[in-house]
Amino acid sequence: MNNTGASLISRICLLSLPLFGLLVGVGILGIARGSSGWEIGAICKSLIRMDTADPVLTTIIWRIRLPRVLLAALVGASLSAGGLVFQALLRNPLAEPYILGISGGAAVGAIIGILLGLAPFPGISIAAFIGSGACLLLILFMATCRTILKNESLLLSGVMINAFCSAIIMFLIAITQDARIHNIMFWLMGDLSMVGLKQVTILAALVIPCFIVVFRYANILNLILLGREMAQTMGVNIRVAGAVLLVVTSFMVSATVSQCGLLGFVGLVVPHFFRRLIGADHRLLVPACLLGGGAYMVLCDMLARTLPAHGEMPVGVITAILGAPLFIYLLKRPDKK
Amino acid sequence: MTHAIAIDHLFCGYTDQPVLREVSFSVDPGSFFVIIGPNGSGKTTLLKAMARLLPAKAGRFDILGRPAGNYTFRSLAQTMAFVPQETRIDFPLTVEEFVLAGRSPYQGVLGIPDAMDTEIARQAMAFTGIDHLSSRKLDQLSGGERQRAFIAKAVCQEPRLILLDEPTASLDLAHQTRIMDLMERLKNEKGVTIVMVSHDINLAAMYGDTLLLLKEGRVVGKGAPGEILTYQILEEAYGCMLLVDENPLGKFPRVTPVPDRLKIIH
Repeated sequence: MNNTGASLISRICLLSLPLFGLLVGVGILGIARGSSGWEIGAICKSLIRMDTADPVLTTIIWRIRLPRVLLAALVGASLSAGGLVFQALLRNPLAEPYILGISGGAAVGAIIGILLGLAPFPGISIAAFIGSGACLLLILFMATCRTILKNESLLLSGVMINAFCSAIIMFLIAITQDARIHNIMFWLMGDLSMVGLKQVTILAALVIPCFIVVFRYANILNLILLGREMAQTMGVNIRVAGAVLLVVTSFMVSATVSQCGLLGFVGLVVPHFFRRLIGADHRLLVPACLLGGGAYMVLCDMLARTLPAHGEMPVGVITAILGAPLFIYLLKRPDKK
Repeated sequence: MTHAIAIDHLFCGYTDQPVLREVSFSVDPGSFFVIIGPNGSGKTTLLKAMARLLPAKAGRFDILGRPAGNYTFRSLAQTMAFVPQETRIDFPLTVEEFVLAGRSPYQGVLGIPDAMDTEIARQAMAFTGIDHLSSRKLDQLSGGERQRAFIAKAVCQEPRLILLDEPTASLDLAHQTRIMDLMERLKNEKGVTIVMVSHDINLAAMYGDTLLLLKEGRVVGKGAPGEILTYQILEEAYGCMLLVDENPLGKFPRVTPVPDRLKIIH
């Protein structure tokens, strides 16, 4: 078996290029697919000859659908990579990006924002980000306490933060009587609509540097999988690496969640999906989760807004309805790699 | 002569109450050094302190003549490899990928292996006799094969010292001697200093150059197997009746615990 550096780099490329192609492909489909069917012709027309194209359609495509597709790609990438990092860092296959309590904090922040009648952007986004940031600070404070340094305790305190926040959320929902309850439910289910190019640009500026950091730590994640002690005796400064990964990933997930609400399932299943498919090497898994998770989210979002005859359904419904059976199939299939 | 490890008045532990108190000893380079002692005597704690997995509360600790604190994690990993006792890896990793990870202290950020790394990993697998298992998953190996994979990973780090925590625990007799023979070859052929925690006093007597006996976090004795494994010292340390005689295989002691029902006769 040949496992030289050249073959590793070529494996990364061989994996990333098709996935990137897939992402671009579903992206084009997502832009072209509207409630009235496919509009690939219109896209080409508006690209080639701006002046003769239908101005309404051009606006819909470039001002509404393009930002939405880009947002879906960023959200899918960030949540999948977040899940991947937390599963390795906490050495727990059930870990997902929200496990440390980020979702609870963001939700409380967002709901308070909704109840105060803030605009979706930037008001509610900022409120959600403040909420998740508060939880992140709490997590960091606990992680630096010597007694809670162990993974299980960090995990358990995350579960407790989420439980505490759920109680506040239920209380807030219980005292809300009017139409705002609909907005709250939509936020909690995750929502990719109502987004402009400006929001997407801000999110990209926040999360893409995080993607690079996570990829830089890919091999260290491989070593952390062998156990913290093992990683340290193999040259990893586990305290520094753990802290950097914890902060960067939490920040990435916070930024994402405050834009799109609590989109579940993607962050849990996409890392497992690729781990079953290509093995446990994070140098392959990080690019696979970023590109594949992005593509999966774009696809699910396209289905969510085009399948129902009227309106659209929450994209979280599609991610789980498509993903769960596929994943069970993968689990049942005998291990190939 | 520079000691492989020199420890002076070391205090170390998990909480405020130190497990190790005033531990002082040195390990000669190129020797087979075995730490023995009853349960809870601090053997594993001492090994973890030596691997710098536990910070010392007080005392001096030198590795190859340099204070341990002066090593970066990376340079320490190039000097010393650690084989832990409990090794649970539940992610699908092949033996070759795992052994190759032993090269990471020498590699760049992404750990891209070059031709030399692959060659060293291949030699390490051949040395430990697991080359035929290279594409198998780590979790599909037997206990003995798994232990050899961990040793191959340690060899791949090209260390001057290897620390092992009870590498023969839960292995059958054939695998016990196989692992011990392997460590002896590593010492003789590559000049690696072996530091091992072991519960098996008879294996320690047959393979060890120097034994360190711990009790309640303190050093009770250090010396050649013949000096340490005496009836008086061992009964004092373990608090049970033992029979110590000469092993028919050679000039080293053999220790047999005496069951209750045979105590009257002897």
